[in-house]
Amino acid sequence: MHITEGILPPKWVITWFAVAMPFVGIGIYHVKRKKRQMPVYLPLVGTLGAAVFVFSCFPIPVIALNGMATSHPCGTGMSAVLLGPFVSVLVAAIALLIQALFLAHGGLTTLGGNIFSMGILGSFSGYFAFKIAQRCRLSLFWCGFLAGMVSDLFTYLGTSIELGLLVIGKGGSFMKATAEIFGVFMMTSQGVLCIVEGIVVGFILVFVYKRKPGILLHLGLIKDDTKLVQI
Amino acid sequence: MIQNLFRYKIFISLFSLSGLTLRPLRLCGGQSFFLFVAFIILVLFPPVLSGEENIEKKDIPVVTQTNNEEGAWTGIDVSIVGKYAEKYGHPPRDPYINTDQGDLLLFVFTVAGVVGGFIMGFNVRKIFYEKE
Repeated sequence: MHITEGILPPKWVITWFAVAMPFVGIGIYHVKRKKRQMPVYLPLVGTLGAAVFVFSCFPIPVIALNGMATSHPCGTGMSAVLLGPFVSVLVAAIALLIQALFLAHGGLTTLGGNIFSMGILGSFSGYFAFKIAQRCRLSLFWCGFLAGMVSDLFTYLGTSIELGLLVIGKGGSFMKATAEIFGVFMMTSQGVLCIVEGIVVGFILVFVYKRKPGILLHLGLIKDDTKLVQI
Repeated sequence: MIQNLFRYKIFISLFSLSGLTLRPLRLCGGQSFFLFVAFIILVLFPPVLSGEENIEKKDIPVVTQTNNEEGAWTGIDVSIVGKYAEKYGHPPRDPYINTDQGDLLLFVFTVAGVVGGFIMGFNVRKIFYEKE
């Protein structure tokens, strides 16, 4: 999903940075506010930040239609549910910056575009998928599963849109290009990997619920009638 | 190789020294982190930025690692994103800080794994296993 250095022309570099930066700023504000309300919030941000960093550069081989390919999950669905979507954007931005600086993964000029796809689209889609699943009274595991799966799909849809926009002005069709790239993503590896990510996020939420349900209670992810554990 | 070892020794000495000398300054976590990143960039990366490694080995045949390698372990970031970007007239270029040189990428990934693992382990213990 990482768009490599040099792919985006200057106008899109500026556009994606302009789109991403307000979300990052609001994320910083949310961290400052929530750390006063909840003592374990900063350690939680640290844990999930490291998790998103590891998830998003961890190549997993997937046997797909055209042979073996490697791809990586995103982790922003999980961080969006547990930290909130804006803080999840901030966490994704830091992870992507470190990867661009030191791991030759992504790029500095494409950072805004990558924050848009993995941070903004991934986080908000995962968060809303979780909320909708909760409204449908699904169990915690299935809510987490949908959050992880949908965030992964939307992240790659975002990348497809960013690449599809490159054909504008060159006689190509944006919709056709986006659909083609997204279809290839799904058929090669991401179709399988998004299900894997959903399962992982589901199990992580169940683990947190069993170990410290107070965290989910403080975050407003479960109702008051569940048992409260001191955090 | 000797130069590399020497460089790492300088880096480690400076980092240890910074721990001793900066402690009385009572820097906060964020400031320490930026100092750490600054050390990495200043000490480890100038040779990478200037491309010193390639100049030294000009006369020796070197098996280069490129992002265009096709194989079973090719990531879709390269095989799909790169392919379509090239098709639409915007081919990828090398990163500004290119760590994809020899064992350097392995070194950086190992450091990142150790640091990331430590942060996760420390905080998971603090959140889920330590009592109030």
